[in-house]
This record gives sequence, structure tokens and C-alpha cells, in this order.
Amino acid sequence: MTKTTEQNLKQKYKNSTAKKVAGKSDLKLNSKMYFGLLIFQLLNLLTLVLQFNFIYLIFAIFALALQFMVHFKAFRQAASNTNSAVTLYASPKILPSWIILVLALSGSVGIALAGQTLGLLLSMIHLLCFAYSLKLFEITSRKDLYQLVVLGIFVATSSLIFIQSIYFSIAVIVLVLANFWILIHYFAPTMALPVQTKLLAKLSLYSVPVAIVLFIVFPKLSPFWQVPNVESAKVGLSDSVKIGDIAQLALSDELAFRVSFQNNNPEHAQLYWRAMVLDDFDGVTWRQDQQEEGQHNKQRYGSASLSHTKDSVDVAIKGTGLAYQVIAEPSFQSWLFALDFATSEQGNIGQRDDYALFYRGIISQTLSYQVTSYPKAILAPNLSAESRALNLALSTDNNPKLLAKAQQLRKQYSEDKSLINHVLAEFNQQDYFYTLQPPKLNNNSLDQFYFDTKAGFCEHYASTFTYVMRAAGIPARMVVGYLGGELNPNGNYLSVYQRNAHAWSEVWLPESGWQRVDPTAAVAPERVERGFSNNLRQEYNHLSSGLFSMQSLRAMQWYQQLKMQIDAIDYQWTRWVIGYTGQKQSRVMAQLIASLKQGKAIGYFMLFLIAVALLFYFVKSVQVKDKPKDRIKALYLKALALLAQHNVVKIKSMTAQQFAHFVDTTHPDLAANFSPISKSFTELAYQNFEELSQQERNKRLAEIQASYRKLRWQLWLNKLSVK
Amino acid sequence: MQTLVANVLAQIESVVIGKPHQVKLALACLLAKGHILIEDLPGMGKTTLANTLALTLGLSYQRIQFTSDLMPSDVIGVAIFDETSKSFQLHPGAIFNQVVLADEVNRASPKTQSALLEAMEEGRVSVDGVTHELPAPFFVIATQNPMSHAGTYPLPESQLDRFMMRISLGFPTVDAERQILQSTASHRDVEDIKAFLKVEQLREIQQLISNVRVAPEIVDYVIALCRVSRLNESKAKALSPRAGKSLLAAAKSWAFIENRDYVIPEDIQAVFAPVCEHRLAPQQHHIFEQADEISQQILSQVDPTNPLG
Repeated sequence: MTKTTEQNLKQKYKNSTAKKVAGKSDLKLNSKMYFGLLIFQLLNLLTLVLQFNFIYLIFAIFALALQFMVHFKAFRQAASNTNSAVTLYASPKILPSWIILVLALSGSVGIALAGQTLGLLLSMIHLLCFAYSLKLFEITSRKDLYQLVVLGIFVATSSLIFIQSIYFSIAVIVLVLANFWILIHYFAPTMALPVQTKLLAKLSLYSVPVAIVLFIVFPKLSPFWQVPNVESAKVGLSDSVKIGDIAQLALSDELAFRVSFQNNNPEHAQLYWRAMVLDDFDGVTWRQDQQEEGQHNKQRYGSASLSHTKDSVDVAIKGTGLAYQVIAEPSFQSWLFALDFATSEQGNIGQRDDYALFYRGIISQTLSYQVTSYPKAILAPNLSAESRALNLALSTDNNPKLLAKAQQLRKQYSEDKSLINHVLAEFNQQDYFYTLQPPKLNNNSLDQFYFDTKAGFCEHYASTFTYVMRAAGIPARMVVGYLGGELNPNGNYLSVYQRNAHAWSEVWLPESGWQRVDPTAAVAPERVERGFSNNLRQEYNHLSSGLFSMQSLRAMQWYQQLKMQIDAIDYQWTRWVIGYTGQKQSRVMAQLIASLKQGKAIGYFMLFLIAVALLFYFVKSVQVKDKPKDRIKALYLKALALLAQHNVVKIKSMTAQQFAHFVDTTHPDLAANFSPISKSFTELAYQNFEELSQQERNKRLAEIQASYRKLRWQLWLNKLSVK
Repeated sequence: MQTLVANVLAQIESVVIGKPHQVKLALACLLAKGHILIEDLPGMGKTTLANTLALTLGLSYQRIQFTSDLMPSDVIGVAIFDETSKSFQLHPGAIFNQVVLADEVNRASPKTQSALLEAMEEGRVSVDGVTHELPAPFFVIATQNPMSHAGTYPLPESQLDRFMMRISLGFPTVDAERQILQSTASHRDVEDIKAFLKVEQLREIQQLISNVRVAPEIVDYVIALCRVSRLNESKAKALSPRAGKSLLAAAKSWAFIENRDYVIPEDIQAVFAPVCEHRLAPQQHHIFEQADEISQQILSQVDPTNPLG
């Protein structure tokens, strides 16, 4: 090599190292990238905005606004001054390190102090987001940029703990992809947009199989945190009912739960979903007996498994079971919904002595459970004295007229059944009518309803009926739950909405046990047979809507269709993705193992082989394009890539010898392992390219492979010792 | 053979002080059977280099000073009626020499320039319909002044392409300049220069050079360089396959001078700028710094260890 070229090269090295040092100390972003960073931080934080503490929210907005203002001003000034096409650059590091440190410490202390009220999960989320906000002020190198974006992705995905609807999930997935895209953009800014998009699509596609496999096999641990009751103001049933409560629900289109039956769907009129039984009436409010605020009577809770109930004297199982899966939306309560008489083998589900299922915990996330119901079972063939007393208890002072009427009826009918029929016939034949907008009652008086206004809905009728029964000496109680459900033909499942909320009565008759009596059916049979009639809906729409009526929109066929379709997708998403819990996972695994044992092993093995072959082919087809045929060259290039990872970068135009010399002079420790690779490569590529036999080549390859491994090991050690 | 070449180099370097790289390039060019264009300001030693080269190689040598009134016949020769033989006899011009130094080639009219350049391309001239072969090793060493100087006719691109290399000498370093100024002789006598090579030896060397091995990797590298020049969005011209061929030939010659019988990427890089710059940027002049800017740019875009990857 002549002197001049050597000088040239030296100059080049100098330049490159100088650049590297500059790049490390101070990363500069152009305005587009810079504002992209801010916007993405804002978007990522927005996904969690409902969970944030007010103080943190202010801090996060303030941090973003500070960054934005400082640089907006700078960019504008620079733009007006230079008036040229020169790209403007900025560094997000605008605060000195000690301020960041102080902020970080005080913020952490603040979160720790607030931890009591926030709870573990939210404290952690706040800590994460707080770090995310602060990290923005600490971007000095590409590494920081990478961390910031990845942190953002983590923040965005953690929002899925709180909200799991399909729309939100899709939005988060899109946001995560956008974050990945911006990461690509930062690291390869010169790449054209379509190329970047293609790369992103390719990488996402490649990761899908891995994600699916991990989703199926990765152990699902139940979260160690308790999701706080953030949505307690949600609509839904509550554990005490005053007359008029359910009317609020009747307007709500919000989903309560969904059901898919294993075999045929039962008729609409059979679908009485028991949620809870209210057996304590104080004259105004129905509530569960012996239940103070948040306190439960432990004795009333038991196991829901079939074997347990078989031994029980409370129930006599008859007929065949009806198996179905229920997916309940988060209600932040613990009762579940099932048809009578329900059993469930799931350990986290129990049953009260009034046959309502409950979840051992708060339903803060979508919950999927498997139930088998026995519609023909006799509930409580023998009523205990205690229970009888409870279900006859009466507060007499509030509704004297009704009490008198009941006592009179008792005298008239000695048989319970005829008494019940008489009351129902009265509801049917006299001018009682069903409306969701009943006239107001003074002090929730049942007397007033029964004798004067004669207009009301399920709660009025059930409440009155139960009262009359008790007054007449028949054990009776009120049951609250849902009636019916809307069949979605696209997915063959039922959706039960809040507007399907219903209340009915249960009376105990000797020998037949607890019998369901729905007085509403006597007044408005169509309510029971078809769910909410259109008439009733219209009544609402007239009353509650102004200029724009949803009704005209609802009438449109396509809108209905679309809604059904989207709902079907949401159902499948909830059922298969969100409902894939730890128990389900172990069930899937157990099934897999069982079927393997049953001799399906060969089939699965074949499937596995095919999968492996496909994967192999896939990997090969991906690699072939880039991999040079010559394996020595391939190894050399691999060594270059390895060195580049550890900041020993070959300038593109450097030849192999020049680079080897460069490594020699700048990293003498690496030279021992790198130079054999380089030497073999140059010799075989340029000098003995036709003479060496395949055998010799292989021998040489083995030698330099050893060098390569040593080099990798050495670099790894270096990295460890440096940090 | 290589010692012989080393001797030749040493002698030329002793005359053309402080320019070993350019001297080596020029020698490589001639050994690769290429013509060379030396471009520089007056008084930088162009003619000295050309003279020394010709004499050291032991070839017949003639210098033509190109001026604006130089006619094609002055270069090629003219057929004159000979009384004794009663026929037209060619009075050969300066071009019938093995080495022709065309001094200040861009001062002659385009007609004269093209007469010279045609001869360079074809290795023969025709006068009045009769074709005359030029002597066998045939080199043209042309020198030219930068175009900005008055009274010049720039060589068109097609004619520039016939020069394998364009080099410039540039100002000497302080040491070299001191040495030049202190040397007693104002001009080193031409007689002092020994001819180191015989024609047969030159032929042998040229044969050896053509046998220098070129690995597929090197060919790929040349292809990659050419391709990059074609993608280039700047005003630079693209490299033709002929340019690629010249590049390989020059690199082989360079490898030979470096005492190797195979080409390595360094050889390509060493000769890339002189071989390609005048094809990439014919009208940009090759004086002082940033002379080979475009070449460097192209070189920087190709990884010699993985050229087409």
C-alpha cells in the first residue's frame, strides 16, 4: 500500500471514530422525528388515561408540553433565520441530569406514598408511566431512543389489563405496530416508507406463529394484583332492589353476558337467568338476607360441583343436563348467571344455598365459565324451618291494604295453587298494564301500585306477588336476573344485555319445591316470550330522544346485520382469546395428552412433522436470499456483523485487509481471533479461489468456525466487564 | 521480471521527485497497454514524467507539441510523390513511434485531436486510402492544461474514454520541492536515463500481467462499482462496460507491480479514481484537492467484502 492511500485510510478512521463519539454524546433528531416521538408518547399514555391519578396526568402533560414548547420555539426560530432547506435538529435533553434525578426520586417516593390508595397494580402502572415520561428527557443516544419506544409499547399494551373489548384491542395493536414502525424509522431513516412498511409487515407476520404458540402454551398465572373496582358506577344489577330500579337498566344496550349452548338453544321463555335471590323485604327494599355492607354470611356459600349437590338434601337432580358456556362481562360484583339448577365444576365458582352461582372474587375482567343445568331438578324438596321462616317474614306496617287482601284470599282458597292462580288471573284480567314508565309511587307503596296506578313492570309485579304470597303464608322470595337473550345467528350464541334484566318470584310448594312464578307473564306475556317488544322500545324512544332517533337507524337492515357481525367477532374474540384462562389452558393440555394416549399420537406426530418441515422450509426460503453460497464468506460476514454489534464497525468501503489492520491497531485483543477469519476469507476469496478442494475448504471452515466462537465469547466477556 | 519493473520505477522516481504514486499509476497504465492523460498546470513536471517513462521503457519516442495550428498531417504524416519510384511515399509523422508524447493535447484543433485519438484507438492510420500499421507497443502519453486556461479545446467524452487513466501530479510536498529547487541541473539530461527494458521484455511483462488471476469476488466488485455509478443521482456519467474492463486491466497491472499474481480489492481501489474519474466527470477538472470526489463517493458505497450483497 502506498503512503497516500494509507494516509487517506487513516483520515477515514479518524473521521469515523470522531463521528461515533459525537453520536454517543449527543443524539440529534430532526423536527419530524422529534415531534413523532412526542405524539407517540401522548398516544401511548392515552390508552391508560382512565386509570391515571390526576397528579400524574398533569405531570405527564406538563412534560410533553415542556418538550413541545422548547423545541417548537427553537425550530421556528431556526426556520425563519436560516431560510434554507437545511434540516433542523434537536436534542430532547433539555434538563440537566440532576433535575431528572431529583424528579425521579421524588416521583417514586410520591407513588410509594400513594400506593396504599392506588393498590399494587396501579402503583406499578404509575411507576412505569412516570419512568416513561421522564425517559423523554434523557434521550442522548440511539439506545435511549430504543428504550423509550419499547417502554411506550409496554405502556400501551398494559392498558389491556383494564379494557379488553375487541375495538380497544385492535386500537392497541395498531398503536403497537405504529410504535414499531417509528422504531424502524428512527433506525433506518433513509429507508423509503413502503420499504419500512413492508419490513414491518414481514416482521409482524413472522412473529405471529410464535405469538400463537406462546399464547397457547405459556403458563397463565392468575394476576397477583386485585384490579381495583374502578367501574363500580357501571350499570347492572345491584344486590338490593327498590321498585323502579330495573327500569334504568331497560334502556341500557350494554352487554351483560353471552352464552353458547353445546346442543340446541332452549326456548326464550325458558331462559330465566338466575343472578341472585332476594329474600329479605323491609317494606321498601328487597335484599339478600343476613348481608350487611360487603359482608357475606359464609354459611350460605358452598360448592357448585355436581357431586357436592348430589349429596345435598336441598336439591333432587332429575332429567338430563344442559351444558353451556357463559362469558360474563366485568360487573365488579361476584354473582354469576345461570339457568336453574346450575352446577359448575370450576373451582373458582361456588353456589349459594339459594341456588345462585357466585364467583370467588370480583369479576373485574371478562369471565368465562362452564355450566351444566338441570331444568327438571326439584329445588328444596324439603324446606328447612329456618328457611321457611325467612321466606315468610313480612314487614306489615307499610302495605296494610295488600296484607288484608292476602289474608282474605287465604280464607277463600285453602289450596296454595289456586290462590296463586287467582292472583295471576287478577293481574291478567283486570286492567293492569306493563310499562317501563310507571307513575311515581309514594314511599314505594305496593298498595298504591296494586289498587290505584296498576301500571308497572316486572319488579312491581314480582314484588307485589311475593308480598301477597308471604302474607298468605306461602314461602316466597324474589329472584333477580335476566330473561331471554338475543340469538346471534352468525355465531350461534345468545347475547344478554342489561335491558334483559328481569325480576320474578319463587314460591315454595310442598313436593314440587321452589317453583318459578313470573307475574309479569300474566300481565304482558310477550315480554316473556319475545323479550322486549318493539312497542315498549318505541315508547322509550318517543320519550327519550329528541331530533335524532336511533330508531330510524335501527330499522335499517344493514345496520342490524353489521351490528350482528361485529358482535359475533367480539364474541369469538372474548371466547377464544380473553377467555383463554389458566384453567382452560390446562384443559386444552389435558385434552391433548388424553388424545395422544388414545392413539391419535400418530396423527399429531404427523402434524408436528409437517409443522417442523414447513418451518424449516420457511426459514430456509427466508435465508437463502441473503446468504452467500460460500460458507467461508458467510462466516466472515457473520463475524463482521458480530463485531459491528460491539461497536467495531467496518466502514463500507474498507477491504478485508484494511479492516483486519484496523482491528489490529484499534482492538489488538480481538485481532487474535478475528485475523484468522479475515485471512482465510481474503485468501480463499482472492487468491486460491479455484485451487482448494472441497475437503480443504471444509477443514479451513472448521478452523475459522472455532475462531468465530472464540471471538463471540470474547466479545461477550468484554461487554460484561465493561458494564 | 518484477525486479526489472522495480528498477524501472526507481529510475523514474529519481527523476520525477516526490510523486511515487502517480509514477506507479502511469507505469501500471502503460504496462496494461493503456494510454494515459496527464492533466495539470504548466510546470508541474508532466513532460518530465512522460519523457522519463518513454526513455526508461527503451522505446522509440517522439514528442509533439500541440498548438492551435497543428494539422492532422503533422501528426500522422503525408504521402508525397517520389520521383525515383514514381509513386506516393508516406512521410511518416510523429505518431509512428512506440511512445508518442502529445504535449498540451487540448490546444490543438478538434480535427487534429481526433486524428491522434483515432490512431490511438485503432493502432493504425490511413493516409490517402492506404492503411499503415503503427509500431507494436504503442503508447500515447498526452498532457493537457486545465480547461479554464485560454485557448484550449476540451476533449470530447468519447475521446477521453480512450485514455485508460487520467492522472494529475499536483504540487510537490515541501521536502520534494526543496529537493527539486536544490538540484544542480536545471533539467536532468535525457542521456542519463537508461533504457531498462527491451521490447521483448515489455511484451513478456504484458503477457504476465494478462495472466494475473481475477477472482469472481473481484469481478463482482467491479460490477458493483459500475452499477452504483449508474444508480448515482448526481450529474456524474455512468461507467460503461469498457470502463469496467479498463478498471480490471489496470488493477491487474497494479497487482503485478505490487508483486502479486492475483488481484485484491485494494488494487481496484488504487486505480479506481484515475481510471474512472474522467469517465464519470469529464468536464470536471482534476486539479488540486477534491479531484476524485465522485470516485470516492462510489467507492464508499460498495462493500468490497460483499459487493453484490
